[in-house]
Amino acid sequence: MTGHEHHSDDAKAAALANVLRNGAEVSAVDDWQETGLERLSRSVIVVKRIAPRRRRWPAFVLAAASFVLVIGGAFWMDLGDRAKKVTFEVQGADLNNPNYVIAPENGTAHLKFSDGSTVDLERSARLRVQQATPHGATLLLERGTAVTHVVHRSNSSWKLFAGSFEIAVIGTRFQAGWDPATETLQVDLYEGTLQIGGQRTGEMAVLKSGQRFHAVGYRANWSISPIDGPSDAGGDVLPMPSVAASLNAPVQQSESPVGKVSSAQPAPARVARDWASAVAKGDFSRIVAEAESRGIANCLDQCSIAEVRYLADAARYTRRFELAEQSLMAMRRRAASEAPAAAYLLGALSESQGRTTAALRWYEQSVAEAPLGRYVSEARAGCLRMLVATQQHEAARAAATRYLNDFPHGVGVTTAKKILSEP
Amino acid sequence: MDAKNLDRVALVSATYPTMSTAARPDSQKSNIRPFPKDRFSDAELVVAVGQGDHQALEVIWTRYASAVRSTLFSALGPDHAIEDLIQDVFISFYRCASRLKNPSALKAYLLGSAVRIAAFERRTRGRRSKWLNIFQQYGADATERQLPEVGQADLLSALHRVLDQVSERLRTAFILRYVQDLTIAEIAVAMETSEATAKRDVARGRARVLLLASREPSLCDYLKYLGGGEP
Repeated sequence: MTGHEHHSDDAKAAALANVLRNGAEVSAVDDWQETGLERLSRSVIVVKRIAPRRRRWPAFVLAAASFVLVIGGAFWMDLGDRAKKVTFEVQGADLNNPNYVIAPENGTAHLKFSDGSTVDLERSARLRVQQATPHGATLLLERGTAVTHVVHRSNSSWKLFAGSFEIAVIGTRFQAGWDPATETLQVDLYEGTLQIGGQRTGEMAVLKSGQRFHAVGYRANWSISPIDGPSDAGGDVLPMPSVAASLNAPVQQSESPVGKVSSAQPAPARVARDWASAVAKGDFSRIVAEAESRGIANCLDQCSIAEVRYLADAARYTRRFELAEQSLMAMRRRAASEAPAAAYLLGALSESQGRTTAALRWYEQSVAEAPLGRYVSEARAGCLRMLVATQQHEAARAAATRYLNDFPHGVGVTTAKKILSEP
Repeated sequence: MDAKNLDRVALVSATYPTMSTAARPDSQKSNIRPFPKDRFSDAELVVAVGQGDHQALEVIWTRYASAVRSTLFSALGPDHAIEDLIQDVFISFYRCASRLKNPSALKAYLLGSAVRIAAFERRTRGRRSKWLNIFQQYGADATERQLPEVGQADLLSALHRVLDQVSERLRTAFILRYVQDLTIAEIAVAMETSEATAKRDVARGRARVLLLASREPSLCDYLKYLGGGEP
């Protein structure tokens, strides 16, 4: 008997554990550590900003404070009740984890805070209550629209983060909509005053009641217009000044919402729309040329996700495969919600170049990341083709059977039937 | 220390000029190169993070993010929430780094935190799907967690089915011992229990996993192959 035949229970358990370790490695995206670290760094900045400040007090101060507390016990109890953190309850949605609320697809979710403030999340919107304090809360709007009503108090402190934007709230009623895919923020202010800051740019805008704030992309121009006026997403935009400039002329900025100034740079939303129409017309080379004139690296870093997607398509159709791959990788890096679609397109790109193993890996990645995603049928059909191409016939037959079961009318039905019909 | 390890220490010392701990990060002398943070011990990194040092947090991420990820993957299976949960583990560590009782047990702390967060996620999903199943025949969770079952993925799916049937405590012990290769002492720290209990949980977890694995056809074949006979 050899050692191989005498595997102990420990060795068997270790072998099973090895399967789990390999699975974890295979399921990981190439650059997950880099993107995860970048995300952690951003979160830590937020955590640090909202963390309560701590001071070390000398012992005699603490003793004096204790004495005062003992003497004023009854009064303190009364204050204690007031100093409780705000709490909230959710109606219309289940709490996925204690502080994370996802509105249903066909309805709204209602958050009611103990201080009387409310937040209504519209369809499929996602919001995280990051921190609750005695004076308010910090909310993270991950996507969708939130209608917020904060009850004004002398010391209330509410913040709403959306992407790289920070909205400081004192006592207002406003609606904020955030789309992470296009990095678009729109805020309609119905009552009170808001301060909106760009965390990455350091700029700040002051919004007054009846005004709409609109921004696409974190470095793009922001605009302020009347709520009942036409949306300026594609029209002329009012470039926001830097902090220093806004200190000089903040009133003019916020009190003349109708005055429009054309910006020197084309607005990103307009560029995205132009590129969409160029893709529709098949004018792919124009998109690539425009991106090159702006600088490819610059565009991949600063353009909206929609623009990067159009650039990837245009590069693919003009056979600029390297540029297409760069664009899709940028999509995966910058927008987790678009990662499965980008993985599918990377699979298609690899397949068109005859890189079957890479294509199989990307298709599997796309399915693993979004098993119910919009490209799952196409990605699994791609898996079938690539399994055949890499001579994995048994796996292909099993996958074909499952495909026909799951997608009886999918795009890969012909391939699946062909695989199963072969001996 | 054997000769091989001594050679390794000598090589490392020759490659990186080392300093005494006292002269490490807080040395104010400009002619002394700061000690590279990636060579800090776990305890030193924890202290640095507790003082708000982001670079130390990056080093901890680089050192342990993969282990945290594979722990979460082992506990939950392929899941779109894993990246979010990794963030939760590290943010929770960042928040309480200054209050850690035993900073040198950083790995055990992070992995223990990961298994607790995974267990919480499983419980909340279980409750949610229980309610959802009242209204719909098929829960979305089961479908969401499917992998493209290609090649090795079959084995992996079967193993996750097995782990789903094992109690949370025994599953945690199994993952920490065999997937993460922690010692019994580290497992005791991670599970906040005594070493005797941790040792017992590991043994029971292993027995339970192997028993259930022997009932899964694909795993049974795999174990037969390993053992050269009956699993």
